[in-house]
Amino acid sequence: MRRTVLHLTAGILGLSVAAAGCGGGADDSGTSSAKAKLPDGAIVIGMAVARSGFAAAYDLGPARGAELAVADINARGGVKGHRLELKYGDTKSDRALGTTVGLDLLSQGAKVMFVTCDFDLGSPATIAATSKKVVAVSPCAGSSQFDVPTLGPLAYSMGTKSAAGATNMAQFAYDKGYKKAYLWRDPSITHTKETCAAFESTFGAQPQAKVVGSDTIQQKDTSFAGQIARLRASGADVLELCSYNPGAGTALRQLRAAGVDIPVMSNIAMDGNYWLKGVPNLKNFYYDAFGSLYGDDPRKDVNDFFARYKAKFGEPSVTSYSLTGYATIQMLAKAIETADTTSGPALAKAIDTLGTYETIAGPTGYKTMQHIVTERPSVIMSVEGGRISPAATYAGGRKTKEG
Amino acid sequence: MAQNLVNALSLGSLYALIALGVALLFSIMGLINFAHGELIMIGGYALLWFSSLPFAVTAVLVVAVVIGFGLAMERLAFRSVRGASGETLLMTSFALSLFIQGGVLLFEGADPKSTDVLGNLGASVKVAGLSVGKLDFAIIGVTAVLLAGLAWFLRATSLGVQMRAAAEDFTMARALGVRANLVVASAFGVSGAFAGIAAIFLVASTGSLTPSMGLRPVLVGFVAIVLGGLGRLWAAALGAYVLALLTVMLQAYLPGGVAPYQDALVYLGIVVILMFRPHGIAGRPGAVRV
Repeated sequence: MRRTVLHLTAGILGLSVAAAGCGGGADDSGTSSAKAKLPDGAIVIGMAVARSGFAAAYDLGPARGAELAVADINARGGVKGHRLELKYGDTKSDRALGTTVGLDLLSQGAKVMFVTCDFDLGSPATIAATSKKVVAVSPCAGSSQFDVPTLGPLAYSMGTKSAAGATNMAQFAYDKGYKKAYLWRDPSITHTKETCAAFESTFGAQPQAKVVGSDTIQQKDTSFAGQIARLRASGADVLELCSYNPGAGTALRQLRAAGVDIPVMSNIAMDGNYWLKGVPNLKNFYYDAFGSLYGDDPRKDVNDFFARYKAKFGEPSVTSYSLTGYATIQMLAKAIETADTTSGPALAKAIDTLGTYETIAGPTGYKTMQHIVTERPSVIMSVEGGRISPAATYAGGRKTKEG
Repeated sequence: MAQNLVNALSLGSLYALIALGVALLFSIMGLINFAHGELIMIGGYALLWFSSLPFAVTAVLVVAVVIGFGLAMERLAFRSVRGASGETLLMTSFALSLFIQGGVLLFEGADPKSTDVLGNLGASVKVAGLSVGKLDFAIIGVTAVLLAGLAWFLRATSLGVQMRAAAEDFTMARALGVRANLVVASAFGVSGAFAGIAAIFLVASTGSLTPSMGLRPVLVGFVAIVLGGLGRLWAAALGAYVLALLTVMLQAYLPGGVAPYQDALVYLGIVVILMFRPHGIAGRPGAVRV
């Protein structure tokens, strides 16, 4: 067995070396700490995103949204006459590779970093960039940790705080008349932990409503029979599913197969229909999104955006995260224009002082000590018989629009 | 408690299908085949490719495709390194694993895919007050038949006896006329068949597919064969059921705050078992020792 253990250890080391080797080398030469005005040539935006692995489904849309925004801005003459250019690196959904890919992109001249759509996966490339005084933006990280106290003054998220979406979902569930909630917590990422915490505090604070129980679910689980049995025994009339795909889809598949058809509230990580084949004829399922992908969003510019997306890429957007990818570039272009430089501290100052402004993803604004969007309307999507449509719009825990 | 035992039996059956595929090759040629997970992944995608056909046809085609990949794996990658050191075999299997994953990534993309396999077995039935999924019945039943079939094949057929002889002492078996190429290729074929069937049940349970979906099953397979005892096929199945029992019981009884550490506790349990049974639960002293 010692030989076997040796073989295994050697193999794991080999894999690590191979994985690290794919990311390219680190180099300081690409840092943009210079205080100079915009140099000649294109402004390179490093795209340290997952193009493979489970997070690729979450990063593809924002990256393409960014491509659309870059095309639009360049068609109008760029930013102060400078073209925007995107350079990609693949983090392979691997936290360990985020730093390597970020440093590699800096060495290729990236002046701003666009990172993965999640705190846990996006923070390594963010730290790689901000440590070289380069601004890094995640298009849709929702964790409250994607903010100044954790990642410093040069990191931003175009995403809405996980808690804001969960607060809206909890209020929506209560408004629909549900009084006994059960929570399925996925502890693997911060977003899902914060989602459940916010849902629990908001729902539990409503009159006559309470959280009657909770359970842990994990991405690696192939069977959720135990959790389903305990949920069934709890007498809950609504389930809050704080997880993401593929694990959340598997849990839902087994839940519905077991004949448990209570309404399920979830979160923005369930946006899109790519996983619905695994849960045929799903109904009574709700999640919050930046907008509807299906041409029926309450906002015309959002519907136009998704039509353009489909025309350009030959397929519909997988999730509404593409909106925040577009909005990220909108915000960066505006800030670079204001700052007249890509130097991190100056650019961050410009971003912080832009105030609240409209983007394709809705109102956006940052302050010196708040670098994640705390308030933005959630379009709550309903899945009925496999068909997805907007059910309502909530903001700040209040319904603002029906449908 | 009884409900948890049923859940463990079902999960253990799935683990056993995976572990046996891994154990077969380890027994015969000392190969720790990390690419076995990729056979399961290929089986998953094959389900998607043939999903428009009737299920029986799909299932046959999926198993045939995975057997084909298994045989190609043997012929193109492992035959040339047969007899090489364990490290060489292991690195070959890692390289193959990455190559196949990369190929699927290239042709199928990184996006997770979903499919509804055996959806008609989704419902549960009540048996003696317990809720048992029809799919669980299918997994338990098919695994039992396959285990019995494998035991019969290894004991009652000429090829099976040759495989057992090769597993005991490959060099001596060759000296006595056992055809190495046939035996090893057959082992890859049988291993592929188990991987194909495991893929069907895995995707039927989860409904989702990703290029990296084989990693977790292959790790489960290795842990199961170490736990059960290296060198005995039935011990690998036993290890799979014990591993599933530990997993399900911890899933059921761990308090919420500790639940995220379920995996760590499962492996701690395995370490404790191996401290008292260093050859695995049913391993032979003198075979391979932990």
